[in-house]
Amino acid sequence: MSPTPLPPALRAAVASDLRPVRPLASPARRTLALFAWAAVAAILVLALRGLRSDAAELGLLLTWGVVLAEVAAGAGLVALALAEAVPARGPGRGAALLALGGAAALFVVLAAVTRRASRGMEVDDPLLSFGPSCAGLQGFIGLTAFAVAALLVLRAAPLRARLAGLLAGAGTGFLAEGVYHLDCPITHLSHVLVWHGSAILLLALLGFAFGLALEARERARMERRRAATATRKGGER
Amino acid sequence: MVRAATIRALSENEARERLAKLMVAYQGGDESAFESLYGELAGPVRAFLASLTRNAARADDLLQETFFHVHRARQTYDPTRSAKAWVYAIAHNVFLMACRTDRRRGRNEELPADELPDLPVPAEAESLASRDLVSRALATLPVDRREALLLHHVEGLSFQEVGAVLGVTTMAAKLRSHRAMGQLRELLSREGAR
Repeated sequence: MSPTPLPPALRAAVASDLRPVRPLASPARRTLALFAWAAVAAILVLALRGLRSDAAELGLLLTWGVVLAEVAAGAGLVALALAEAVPARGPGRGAALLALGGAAALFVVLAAVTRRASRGMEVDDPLLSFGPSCAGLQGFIGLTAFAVAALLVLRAAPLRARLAGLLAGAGTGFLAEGVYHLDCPITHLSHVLVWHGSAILLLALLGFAFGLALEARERARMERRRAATATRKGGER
Repeated sequence: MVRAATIRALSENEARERLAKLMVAYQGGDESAFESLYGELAGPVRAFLASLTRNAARADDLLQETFFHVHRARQTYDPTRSAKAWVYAIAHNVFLMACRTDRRRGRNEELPADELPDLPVPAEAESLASRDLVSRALATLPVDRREALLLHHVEGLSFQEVGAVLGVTTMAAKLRSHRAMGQLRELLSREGAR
């Protein structure tokens, strides 16, 4: 087989940007940034809004333990997203969906356990009262985490960007839910599952859309390069 | 037989280490390391892409695209892992992205069976029929099976690496490759019976 010559356009692109790069740290290590984010977010929530009114009733485990479990689940999903953003390192679609399902199941179980331990703040209509404001606030908290996660994903090279985005979005949704557990005293399942769950879902969808946009940008770049190559080949003939 | 397998494993290990060293030098800004890397991998990656696209000109385009991506993503290579699997994962994805674009634009660039490019042939299948016949039979396999078979049997990636390249579990990679080999044998025996 004859050796494949290095195309001039590729040679030029490489020569124009040969700054040394440092290999990225492992996905787990890069996820540590989000633990720092969670700590800062928790401090801010406590300072600005105070600890939930039924914290004494819930006890240490169901207040802080739930926070830790949800933050860990969220960070785990973000770590999978960061692994997915490195070629030949991703968990694969099946494992990713399994992890998403596991995190969702954990969210439902923790909501049920919390409800069992505390009636929380009683409201007239658990499905509608405070719902949009809870989803909005949790969504806002999640957006700040998503900004960090998206930057981390962008620093890598997501091949299946929609999967990486979905995992990053859902992960930041669970991180935000963990932090927001410190504030929201409504434990009614319809409130938690619908409104807190919808904030997680929206962040997951945002992540997916982010991934789709990355893929579309990449495809457009490929098409431009393809057109340029075709023009060059046409000119050479 | 055992000795041949040992020698093959040793040379594969040496090749792995050499590629890893080249990648590290390339990450450090060494242009000649990139050229050497391209020299080592362009041929097999092009053959892999040709087997997926069934179009030599398209494979050339995607090869160039793969190395553009390699350049942009070079910081994501982990020197403790296989450089080959890392490059093939990029090539596999470049192919998928190109397929998506082609579908959207209603393009079909697969060539008819009699104009197919020369595809790489697994050593295990060479004894079953002529190289040309194996190559043609290979081209008729479903893409997902074909690539698992080529990555393992031609490129020498482990099933774990094949799984990582294709984004599936090790078991699924093994299954795809095994089914592809079975299908290939069946196709060739049918051809032989004619």
